[in-house]
Amino acid sequence: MNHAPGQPGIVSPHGLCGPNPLLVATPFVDPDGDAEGAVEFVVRSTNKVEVIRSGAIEGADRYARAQGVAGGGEQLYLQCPV
Amino acid sequence: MPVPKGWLAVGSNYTCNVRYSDAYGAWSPWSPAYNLLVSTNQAKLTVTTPYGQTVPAAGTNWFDYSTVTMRWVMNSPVTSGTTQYVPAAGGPGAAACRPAVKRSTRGLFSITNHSSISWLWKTNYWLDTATVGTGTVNVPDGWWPKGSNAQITATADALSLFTRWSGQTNGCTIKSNVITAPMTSPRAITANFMRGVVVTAATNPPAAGTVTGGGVFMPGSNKVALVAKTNAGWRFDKWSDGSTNATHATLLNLNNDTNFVARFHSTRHGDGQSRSDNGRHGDRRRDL
Repeated sequence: MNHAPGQPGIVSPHGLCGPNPLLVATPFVDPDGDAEGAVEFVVRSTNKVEVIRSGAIEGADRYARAQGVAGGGEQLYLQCPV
Repeated sequence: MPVPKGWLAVGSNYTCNVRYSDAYGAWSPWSPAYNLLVSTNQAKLTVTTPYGQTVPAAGTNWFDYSTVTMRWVMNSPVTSGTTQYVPAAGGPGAAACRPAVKRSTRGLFSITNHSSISWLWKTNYWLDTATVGTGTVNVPDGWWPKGSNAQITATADALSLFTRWSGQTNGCTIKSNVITAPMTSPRAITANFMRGVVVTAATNPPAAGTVTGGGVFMPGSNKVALVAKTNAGWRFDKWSDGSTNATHATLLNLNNDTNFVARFHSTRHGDGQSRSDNGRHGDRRRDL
């Protein structure tokens, strides 16, 4: 029986951030030792409106995934309009 | 202007969540909601210091996020009269500074978030030591950390006596010529000495015996007693002032340096010559 990966967290930034924050998740952990399949970030405004869902938003300039840096967790670059 | 979906708005608060799936498509629970406040494109650095001038300056400073590497410096120590302030070991406390910085009064760091630096200082107090009269103290003038204890020993010279401590001795522990001063404030402490009355005593001839009791005494002292001890083959004769007791009577009210000589005679039979003081003080026959 396959088990789901462990619940992740977000380690950075710390509350306040600049206009181009980099969300960094804790590393992927799976109790079965399975490889990582995907990651999904969701950003909501204070009124619960979904602003960014990494799996749905198109455009590599809006986010990028990278592994093996900053502790090995997945990362998501966010961006404010210029 | 409304911010399009997929973008963040400066000055707005957000919550963030993340989840993983494994290679077989099983998803983890969502992470707890994480708060995010998107600020301006500059980070705020708040510097507080009770003394001195710092770079960046005390107050609120703004720097571009991540793009500025700053060097902080400060002028120190800061001296105000007899009080001195110096950066406490390492300057800004790690707990008081975000992001964590080196504990140093000079250094570099990149600002990546709103941060603050609180400069911590320690206080030194000036200790002024002095003497009146002829003697010395073993602690020179200098700065002492607040709360430390300065122990000072006064030593009189060969012809003097330590008399007392004076100055800002409140709260100090005094044991004769040693004073322990808690440095809770600047202090000026003086060791006082006075010229003593020197009582010297000798024997004549030198090999005939010994005399104890000489030394330096307070003027007017009445506790001076000289004792002559006779070596074998000799007999005590008298003191230079005419006293004939080997234990000299207590000397009263000494106010001038005084030299006493204990004179002895030989007790050897057949010795027709006195062996004292070049014969000036008689021979055995006279003593008999």
